[in-house]
Amino acid sequence: MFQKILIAEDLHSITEGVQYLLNTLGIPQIQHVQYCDDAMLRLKKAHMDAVPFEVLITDLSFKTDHRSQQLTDGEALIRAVKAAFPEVQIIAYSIEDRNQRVKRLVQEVGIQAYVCKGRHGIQELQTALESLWRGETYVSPQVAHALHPQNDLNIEDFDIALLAHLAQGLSQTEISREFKAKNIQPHSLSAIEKRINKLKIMLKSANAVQLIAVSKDLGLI
Amino acid sequence: MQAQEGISTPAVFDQSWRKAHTAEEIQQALQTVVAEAKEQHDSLTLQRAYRYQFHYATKQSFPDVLEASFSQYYQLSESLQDTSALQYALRRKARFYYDQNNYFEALKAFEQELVFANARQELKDQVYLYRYIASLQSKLGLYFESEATVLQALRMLPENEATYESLTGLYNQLGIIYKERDQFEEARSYYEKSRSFSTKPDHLQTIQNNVANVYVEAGNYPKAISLFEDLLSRIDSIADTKDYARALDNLGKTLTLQHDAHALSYLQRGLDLRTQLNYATGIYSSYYHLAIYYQTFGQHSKALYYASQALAIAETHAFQEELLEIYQLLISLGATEYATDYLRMKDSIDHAIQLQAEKYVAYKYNYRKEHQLAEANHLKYQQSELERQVATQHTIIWQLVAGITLLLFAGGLWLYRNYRKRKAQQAIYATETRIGKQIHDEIANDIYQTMQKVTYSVVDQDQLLTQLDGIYQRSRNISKAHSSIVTDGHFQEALQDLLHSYQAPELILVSTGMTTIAWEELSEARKICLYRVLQEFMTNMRKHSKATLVKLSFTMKGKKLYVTYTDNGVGTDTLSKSGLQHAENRIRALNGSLTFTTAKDKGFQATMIL
Repeated sequence: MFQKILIAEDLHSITEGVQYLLNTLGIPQIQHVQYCDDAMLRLKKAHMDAVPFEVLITDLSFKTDHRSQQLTDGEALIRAVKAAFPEVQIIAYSIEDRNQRVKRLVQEVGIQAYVCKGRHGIQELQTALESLWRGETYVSPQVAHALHPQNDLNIEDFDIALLAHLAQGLSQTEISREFKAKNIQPHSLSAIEKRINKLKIMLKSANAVQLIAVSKDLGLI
Repeated sequence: MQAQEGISTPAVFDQSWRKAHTAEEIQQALQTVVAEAKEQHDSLTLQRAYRYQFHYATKQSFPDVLEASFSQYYQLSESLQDTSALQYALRRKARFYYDQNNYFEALKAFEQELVFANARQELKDQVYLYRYIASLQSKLGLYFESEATVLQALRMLPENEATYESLTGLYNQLGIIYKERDQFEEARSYYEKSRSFSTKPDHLQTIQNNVANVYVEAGNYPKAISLFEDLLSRIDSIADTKDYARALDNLGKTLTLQHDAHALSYLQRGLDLRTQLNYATGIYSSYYHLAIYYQTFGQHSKALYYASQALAIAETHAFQEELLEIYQLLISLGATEYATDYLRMKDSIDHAIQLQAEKYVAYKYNYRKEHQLAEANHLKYQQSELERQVATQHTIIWQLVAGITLLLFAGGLWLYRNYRKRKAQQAIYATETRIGKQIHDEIANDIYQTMQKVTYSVVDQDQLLTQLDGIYQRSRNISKAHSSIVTDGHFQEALQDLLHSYQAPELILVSTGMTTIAWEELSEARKICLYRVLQEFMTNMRKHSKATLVKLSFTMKGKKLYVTYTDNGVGTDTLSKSGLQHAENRIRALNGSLTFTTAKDKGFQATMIL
């Protein structure tokens, strides 16, 4: 299991719960800070001392108080850590359950786990740590769908062009060739196949025929 | 020295003090007063001191001293706008030059005073000045100007007892002018007219004397003689010795012209009376006429004697005209040595008079030009003043209009803001009430139930936790529903989350163009509006529509955002039922528009432009 973990959390009761979990898991070095700037300092010092932290568990929202901070929230801290110490694995532990935020942090910023504070928060945190130790990522079940393709609502111009070609009866191969001729990106067969599968999920269609029918019904084509 | 010490300011103005001191002491004291007044900025005392200094200067005969003190006094009085002081100064100056035979400067001063007198409509002053001016003009040989001046004065004078004296003088002046121009008939008629206004006996006598002299000039000696004889019979020789002597002299002069030997006794008696009076001009005149008498009757040596007597007097008193006259007589008596004196004198007098006349004419011309210029400037000034006033009026009107507009605008704004505020307060109150109700219904009730459970039954810990978690989730939902909308850089995410929260297994929900919108360019108000309106659409959709397909399309046309919502639900026949009235109000508040296309079982389409 991990040897050195840093907790960034400004609510003491929550920190206690996390510390209790980490102690239970037998993690020897647990440090905890209440400010994002302090977290960054600890990480830097540990790095200089050549005993770096392996995992950072951080909240996303920090109350502002009399101490002015350069890093005022968890996301800023996460981005700073990602830039300075990419080897440190990060678990966001937050009450926040907005899908797009989760999606952004996981897919764009690249955190290893997103755990929602809640009824089963501590248990999920344990699962997250275990997943990370195995080299996997983890997202709490109540926000897991954020990463699901079905969550994507956006039909792009590319998708519409794709659907229009499909409706004309062209095969995926023919579409790929057509797109290539028209210099539409991406035009590889695999990309087109992937995209059609995604559209099937988005439009809840079992096959291409249903996909076209729904597209027609929606007025997309 | 005594004067310089302890001269309190008023002392120097005190008659008795001045009488007790010499002119020099007074001058010194005045200088002290001037210095003190200047120091104390007491302009009235300073003016008074200047007045005395000027007064003393007029008693001396140094034009430069006079001019200096005059300009001091004049300028100060001008700054004090004391017109009567200005008139006083000008008149004294004029009289000063008049006494010095500097007719030009005298005229100038009189005419300057006339401007003030005319402005103040002081008839007495005006006539006095016209008379002096006319007299001076005729002395300079400017007869036409002189006549014009007299006529000007006559025009403004009403004929009543108060003005008789002035009228007498003015007509007398006309008589003089015409006599000088050898128009004896006119001269006589003016003298007669003058006499008709005369009330004082001495004036009458002077005029009759003048009239008689006109007859002499005209060669009508008998008429002149009878007039002089008449005068002699009427003048009281004791009371009016001077006039009586003049009449005697004139009668003798006229008789001489008629080669009448009776002349001598009249001339002699005239001389005697004048000698008694020690009246230099008269004595000269008598000597002169006696010399003429003896010349006429061929008694050469006697003629020369009287001529030289006359010359002595003329020389003593520097009677210029008279000197000229006597030189001429002496030359005609054979004393040719006076010829050069005569010529020099004649030149000098002619020259002096001519010079002054020329100066005066030039001055008048310039004055008129300046006057015209001043008049033109004044006119221009008046015009510009008028324009300025009109402009000011315009400005005032515009300012008024602008002011009223501003007031109306401010008032309108105030009312509008008040309205908005009231609306906002109503909305806040409604929200508060709703949240209160929600907390009561969804949270308080559940907690109460949980408490009941824990009180009356043995509860499994896990079950209790699950129940508490449910309450926690619900309170979070309430919080989320009323929390602020993210309008910063992550608005698109917030919007997607919103739409996604309505996702359901049987629903196909898509959007197009959302990623092409430059959300950061939209105002916060527009974003909030869009969010809330879509929230209403989606809530409405889930509650009533039974739709299975929902499409949202976002496009930007210029600065306007077009959002079209389409579903395949049951549609609606009335908008109010759908609860979309709020949405419409929100959009209208931002000057946007919302159009619905809906019918029962035909789905629902709405396009909003923000």
